[in-house]
Amino acid sequence: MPTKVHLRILLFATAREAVGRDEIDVPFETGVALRDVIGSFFADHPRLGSPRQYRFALDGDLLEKGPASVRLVRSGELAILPPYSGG
Amino acid sequence: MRTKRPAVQIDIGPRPIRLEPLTQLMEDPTSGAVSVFVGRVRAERGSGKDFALRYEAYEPLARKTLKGLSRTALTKHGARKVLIQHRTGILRVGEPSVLVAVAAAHRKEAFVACRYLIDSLKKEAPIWKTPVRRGAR
Repeated sequence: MPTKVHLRILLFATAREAVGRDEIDVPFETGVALRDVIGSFFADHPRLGSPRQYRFALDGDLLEKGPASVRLVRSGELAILPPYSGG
Repeated sequence: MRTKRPAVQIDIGPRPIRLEPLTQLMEDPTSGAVSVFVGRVRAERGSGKDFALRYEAYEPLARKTLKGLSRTALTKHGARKVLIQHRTGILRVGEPSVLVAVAAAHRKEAFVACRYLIDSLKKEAPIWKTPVRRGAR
């Protein structure tokens, strides 16, 4: 039987403003594709726009090639990163 | 006994930009040049006197990214020491938000590495600024 894992989703800048919170904890079943988790999250929060506008980091590491090939097998932290504007 | 300073110092957080660590870059006897860039909050036309920016960072990744960029500055652009400070929190017009300093053997390497670091920081470090609405502070 699949077990539940928890993804702590961190939101910054325009993503935080679109969702109205800076983090959200979301339970998922182990083995789920990260791409599906992101798709579901963006569908729940349409003000975010398209995932293609963002970069993503899982547990502090930038997903250089995007989330397509990643499956979630344990609890972790997903950062949704709008276009950078530091400096 | 003096301890050896690290070649790279990265500081991201709410503390104001500090110039004291620059003196550490001056201590390297093999560096004949130190180049410094300071970025500040700029007044925008029509922004009013209450204009402010909120800076935020995804700090674990921002720190990792800036360390990687600094290593490139050391290995490919001739930097001998790198210091980067980036402030987070709410900053008003005129307040410094970022400091990049590079010590190198000669001015050319110091300028090139400093420019590489600030240009790359803006493109690759997960740091954001957003205008703060009046009353939101």
